[in-house]
Amino acid sequence: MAVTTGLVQQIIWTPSIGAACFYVGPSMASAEIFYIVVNSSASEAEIATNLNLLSLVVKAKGAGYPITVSHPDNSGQATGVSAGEFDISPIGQAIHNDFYSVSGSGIPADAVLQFETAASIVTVTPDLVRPHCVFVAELPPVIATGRNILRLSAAGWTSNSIPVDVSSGPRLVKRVLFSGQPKPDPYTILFVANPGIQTEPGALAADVVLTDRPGFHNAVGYCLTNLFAVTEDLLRQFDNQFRIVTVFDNTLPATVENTLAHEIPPNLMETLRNRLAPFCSRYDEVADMVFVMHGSTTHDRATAWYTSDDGAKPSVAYTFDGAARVHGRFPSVPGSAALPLDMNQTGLTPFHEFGHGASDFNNGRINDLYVDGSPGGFVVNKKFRALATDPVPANFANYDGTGFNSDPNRDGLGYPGTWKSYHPIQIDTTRPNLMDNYWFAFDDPQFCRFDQLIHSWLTDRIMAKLTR
Amino acid sequence: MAETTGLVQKLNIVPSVAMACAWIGPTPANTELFFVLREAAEPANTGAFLNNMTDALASAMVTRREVVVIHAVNDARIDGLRIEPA
Repeated sequence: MAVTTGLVQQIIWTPSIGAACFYVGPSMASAEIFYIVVNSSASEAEIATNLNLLSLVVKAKGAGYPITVSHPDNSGQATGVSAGEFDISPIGQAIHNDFYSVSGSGIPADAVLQFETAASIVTVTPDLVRPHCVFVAELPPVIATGRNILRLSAAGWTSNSIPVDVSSGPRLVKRVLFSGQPKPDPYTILFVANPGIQTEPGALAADVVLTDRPGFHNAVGYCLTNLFAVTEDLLRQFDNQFRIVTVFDNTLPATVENTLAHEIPPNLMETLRNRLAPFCSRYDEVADMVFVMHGSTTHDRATAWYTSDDGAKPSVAYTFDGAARVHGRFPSVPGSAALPLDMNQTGLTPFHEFGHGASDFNNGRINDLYVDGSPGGFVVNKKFRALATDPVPANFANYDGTGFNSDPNRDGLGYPGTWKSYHPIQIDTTRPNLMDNYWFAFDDPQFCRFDQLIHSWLTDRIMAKLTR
Repeated sequence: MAETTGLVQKLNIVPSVAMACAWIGPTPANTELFFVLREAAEPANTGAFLNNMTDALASAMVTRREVVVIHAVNDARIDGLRIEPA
């Protein structure tokens, strides 16, 4: 058995003899001819599958994809055809001013996208490059519409070239930025443009984010960079397994079910967490974490709600200071954060809020360290001394058999004299904890990291969901 | 039944065994192999839809559209297919 790979040049149907032939090669002049024959004794299944094969040949020709034909040695009778073998994979349609991602493996950090037509080559620098994907927040309209040849290129490295059809619009309501691990229930992060806000007096108001699509794209781009490209590496451990989706649906009125956030005085915005799962299901998504992006400029302080794991579904057991706990594998209410489009993009707001949102109401909350109090419940990253004058205990906690020390100096920022709270030791003891006031970092807030306990605990918690 | 979502990275059709194999996943190197099998004993109406599903997988592959394949847990045979609005 031999295989021949090339572009489909021509297809000829001859129904009177139950046959079709197609030419495969770099040009018509140098193409080889292959054929399929379906004789009158063929079963219905054979007939139909041969027609499937022919249909694949037709589609590959239309798309400009090469095919690989299996055939006996010294015979042109096609016994099988495959198509689609490239080393990169554009995700969804290429549309001007819309999100665009291209996946692959081993993509260099300096990779750019090149869109080539007969008239031009347009180079696009992605907003985020990871080894498994490049991400563009808004595909530049300077790219020619119609058929382009797309490739990724970096110093000393070039991907396969793949034909893509670029259009000028309309932009999609739901955009998959990365489809996630090919398994049921991948860990899913969803960014939604919030349709409605419940105001402080209780009225429902349209969220202006739905009139600012460029702002939404910019903010999502910032969030992705924040989650996956700052110094903290928590999510880079497994971001090639996450499903990442955006929803921007400007047809939605500010009804109760579409109102996903509410104002809290003086300037906070908070998600209406119980509406998120039903909202996501309208777009066929089950999210683990939802970022509700809003356009308020009066209530633009970000907040987050913990996840509520589904206690009726499987979980992974662990111990915390000897007490039995679980990491739930499935959420009943996703973790969530309300983020304003005008957030300061030099900080760590998305990652900080993710830290809250990815923790759990009942089996471990991650709380702010820049305040002394606690809203109650089981908190992973904060404990309290009996008296503010008591020394900070050396040992903070035992998580699943491993001891974690306390931070005696509160990030070097020092505990205010009246504070009773204390915290786990950082990974980077020279900078504030990512759950603390990272704005006090002596250099760049985006260098700040979680503490050792949160990093270990959240790694296990996300792994429990990734492996469900 | 389980659902697996992803892009069709590669499709292979082998008429002699009335089968189409689809590699589905987020990247060309991270896929799960699924298949559409047209069995001889299958009623004509069921078979016609199975073949049409194979055509839909081919269309999704060349247009870079995500698909949701429906299959039994721990079984790679595709029993149903969904293509999302986006």
